[in-house]
Amino acid sequence: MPASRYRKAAAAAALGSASVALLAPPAGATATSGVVFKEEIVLNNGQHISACAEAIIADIADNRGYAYAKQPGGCATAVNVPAGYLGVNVRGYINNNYCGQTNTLYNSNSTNFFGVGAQLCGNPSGNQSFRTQAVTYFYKGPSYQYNQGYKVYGTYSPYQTY
Amino acid sequence: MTNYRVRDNARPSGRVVGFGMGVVATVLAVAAVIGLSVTGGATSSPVSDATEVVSLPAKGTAGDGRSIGPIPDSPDAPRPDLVPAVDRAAQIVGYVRSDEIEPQLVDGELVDTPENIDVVGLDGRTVVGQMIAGVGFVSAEDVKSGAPTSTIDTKAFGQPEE
Repeated sequence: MPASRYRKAAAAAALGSASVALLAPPAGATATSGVVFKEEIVLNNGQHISACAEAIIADIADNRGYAYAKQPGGCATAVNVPAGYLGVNVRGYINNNYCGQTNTLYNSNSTNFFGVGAQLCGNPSGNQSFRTQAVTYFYKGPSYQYNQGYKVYGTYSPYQTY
Repeated sequence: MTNYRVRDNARPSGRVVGFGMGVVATVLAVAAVIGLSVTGGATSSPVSDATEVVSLPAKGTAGDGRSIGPIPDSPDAPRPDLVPAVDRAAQIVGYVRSDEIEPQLVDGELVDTPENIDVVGLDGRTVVGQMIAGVGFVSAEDVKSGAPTSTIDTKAFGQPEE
């Protein structure tokens, strides 16, 4: 690589690193994937929804995941779905090692979002890197009715150090 | 072009010859490009086909381009298909298969993995315990003896009344 190009690449890399450093949340903060659009789905009652999900690593080392029912067209406008249509389990990672998962829980009332949270990983002394995977279920009918069909999506939070 | 100029100087008709050679060279160059493309396509097709057959979805993809997030790469993992599993004290107790902790694409749809999965030793086969949803790691001895286990405190969020 020519020296000038190398310098430009190095400068860009330095800028990138600086941007990452500036954008990285401070230690002790909460890190979220944001509300991520997954897919538009049609429930068995004819309702059209956008399936959206979020994975969070919350203070301190709390694994959280959310399933959101939204109006079709994105994740902007909430819409209620009946009980049993949203399910979530979360999985925890520490230093990229697997800590386990929660049971899958379901919404028991009409709602537009449902979430689950648990501290799945131990937090030994020193800096540890934590991460959450939210596994969200969007049932096409009540989850307690067998074989209604459903969609599953996995969403990861960013890493967070505590 | 330098060659053409030399020829142009050498012969009165060099300009024409040069032009002609330029045309020929251009045609040859185009032909060469086409030839290369055709050749490249012909020789790369089997490679592409083979790649399609043997390649696995990249980590963190559902195989159809939908990202489900990257499976973390642990520095403690001895093999790419194994993810270290830790107990509640964050100590590595064995390994789980990455495809058993990540939603998998089956018949074009993502399906979740079993809630309870085996934790294996380094050989990837010897079961040393289980990761049980809502509990965490339970050793094979405790699974066998049915020893009591403490469950993970799991919270649910977002169930407004209708």
